[in-house]
Amino acid sequence: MISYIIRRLIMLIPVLIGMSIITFSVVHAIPGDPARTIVGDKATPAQIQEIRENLGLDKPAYIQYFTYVKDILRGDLGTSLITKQEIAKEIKPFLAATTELAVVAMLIAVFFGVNLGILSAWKQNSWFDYTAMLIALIGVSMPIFWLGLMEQWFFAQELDLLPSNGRLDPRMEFDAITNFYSIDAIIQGNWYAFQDAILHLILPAVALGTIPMAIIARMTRSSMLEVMRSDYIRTARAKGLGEFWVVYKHTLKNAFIPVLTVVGLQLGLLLGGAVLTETIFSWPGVGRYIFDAINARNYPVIQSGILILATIFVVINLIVDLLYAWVDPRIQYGKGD
Amino acid sequence: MTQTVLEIAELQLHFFTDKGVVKAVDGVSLEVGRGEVVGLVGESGCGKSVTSLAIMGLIPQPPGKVVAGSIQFEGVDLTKISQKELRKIRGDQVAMIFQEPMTSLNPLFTIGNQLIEVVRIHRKVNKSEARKQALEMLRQVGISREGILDDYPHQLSGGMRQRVMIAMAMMLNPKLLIADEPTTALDVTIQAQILDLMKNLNKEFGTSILFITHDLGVVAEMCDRIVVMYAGQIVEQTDRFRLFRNPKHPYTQGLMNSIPKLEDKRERLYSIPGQVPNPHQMPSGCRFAPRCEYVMDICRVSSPELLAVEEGHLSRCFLHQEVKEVATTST
Ligand SMILES: Nc1ncnc2c1ncn2[C@@H]1O[C@H](COP(=O)(O)OP(=O)(O)OP(=O)(O)O)[C@@H](O)[C@H]1O
Ligand code: SF4
Ligand SMILES: [Mg+2]
Repeated sequence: MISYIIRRLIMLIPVLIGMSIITFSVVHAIPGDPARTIVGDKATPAQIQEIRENLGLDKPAYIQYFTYVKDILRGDLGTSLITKQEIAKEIKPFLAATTELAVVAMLIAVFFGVNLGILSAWKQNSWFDYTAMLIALIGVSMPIFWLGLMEQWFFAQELDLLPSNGRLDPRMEFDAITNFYSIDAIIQGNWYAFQDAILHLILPAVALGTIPMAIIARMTRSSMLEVMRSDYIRTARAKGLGEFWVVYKHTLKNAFIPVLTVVGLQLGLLLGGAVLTETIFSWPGVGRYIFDAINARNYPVIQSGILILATIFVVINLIVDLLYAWVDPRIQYGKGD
Repeated sequence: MTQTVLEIAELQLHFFTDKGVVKAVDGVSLEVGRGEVVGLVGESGCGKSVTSLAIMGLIPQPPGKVVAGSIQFEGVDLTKISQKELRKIRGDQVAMIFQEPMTSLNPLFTIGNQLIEVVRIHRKVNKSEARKQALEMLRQVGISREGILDDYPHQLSGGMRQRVMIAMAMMLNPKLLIADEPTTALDVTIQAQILDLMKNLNKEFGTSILFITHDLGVVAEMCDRIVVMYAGQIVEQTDRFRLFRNPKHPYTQGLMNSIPKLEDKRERLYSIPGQVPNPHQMPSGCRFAPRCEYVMDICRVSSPELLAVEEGHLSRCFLHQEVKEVATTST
């Protein structure tokens, strides 16, 4: 397993290099003089010069690139043009907000998706199966922004059950430590804040998690059905094993392998969906942060934001691959060796 | 007369498919005595596996269903009891090994896990005790390699996996072992080893075996009594000596002729002409009539019954039966 992990980590190096080249080019892809475009037409030559130096645009491209990589490796993501703050520091709360939202959305998607899929396969062709798959079909075809708006209208406005905006009641006294509000609330023993943070999470997380949930449910069902026909499931039954264990031990573990791929992919796509969700629910996450930066032509922030999202994507894929190897003993000994 | 462990009577098993009803097992009756090895022989598709799965209660339902008949195991009719009661019996008193050793073990669990599972389903023993029993059973089937319990199936060869399957089936010393073509997927030398192993287990533990195969050569080596099936029915049934010395049914004779013989230098092996009938369109008279070289007029209109041709020897053929009153219709 250790050697497999090391191998996978080594394979990451070219990916990371490619990624850094792409994000580096973001600024250089701007037509004309990037510095002038960034500051706008009315800028004085002094201002343009300042931007140029800030971005290191006055040096040859390869030097710029190495400087860029060196800075990243030191944890320096540059400075925001608007706030003049260090991006690495500034982005943290936004990142935490997105991560918290994405994790909760994914937990919802995986928990409900996998269980719906299992039960549908187990009770194939029952009314439960039909209902669950209808829900999944609707879920897959639901646009996030529409679902988000409907949620806000129904649960927040009509029923007045759940908050529709932000991460916390603004009147609440609260110190952010990790910026994962639910965790911060627990650390501080602030039960009331914890409750409020969770309530704020529900609507955006459901909006964000619905599509992955539906996709995971369908994938789980078809994968379960396929595994249930296999010889080793017949063997498990022939042993006298109860149906519950046949399904949850022997079938699920095998059926989960393809589901894992889907979970990884969906988690990546979820980051894209987060931009929309964050906008609808005024969720102060990375999506919003980058979105605002694009509007303000705040290139260093765009650059670093993309780099961070891409890194998260790569790390998720790495984790999925390692989970594969952990679930399926054949992988470590297989072709990869 | 030995006691019977298994007694199947007039079993009717149908598959209700989109294209119509398939009578995969049509009135099969057979017995397995205590300590006896009974061979169930026949070409592909004649209903051997389905019969054995019916004993285990493992017929996929739907589309399959036992519509008539009984399967008495130690005096209990397995077709009448609940799934829960059936689960207590299978794996413990009746165990089964399958044709495909490569796919019959779960790839994601260790050999140890899968062996111990059988014990822990049926007995209240702790893990280390179950592990000890698993190691002992593996030794019995000829695997004494250190660390085998922590191996995954993909690390073992086909022959080894089939040994593991046999160990798994024998873990709780079942009264009846059903072996569905256990050696078909293995190469010849491994095949002989596995057959030897099963013979020894039969002698040592007195386990009755229902041995399913399409290979009469294997049957000759293994079985005390032989049941020949064709198209969902039994066509001949007797002990090994009589069957090989004096096969009565033309189908059995055809099977015998297709066994390769060492002294035979002919280029091509004999094989019975024609094909097994389409289960959706069974011939109306004798099911073997389209392929039989002795076919008579009556064979095409009337179905022969399974009757004794001599003491302890049944055959389903008009050739050696008094044709009672010429068939109802004349052609
Ligand atoms: N799930 C099913 N649905 C419909 N028909 C089936 C099903 N399973 C088996 N059958 C029918 O039952 C018949 C007997 O099949 P079975 O598997 O018992 O044959 P077999 O004698 O074991 O052959 P083989 O030597 O190939 O293993 C086949 O003709 C097949 O059409
Ligand atoms: S009954 Fe007729 S067709 Fe059938 S096996 Fe006997 S001789 Fe052949
Ligand atoms: Mg078969």
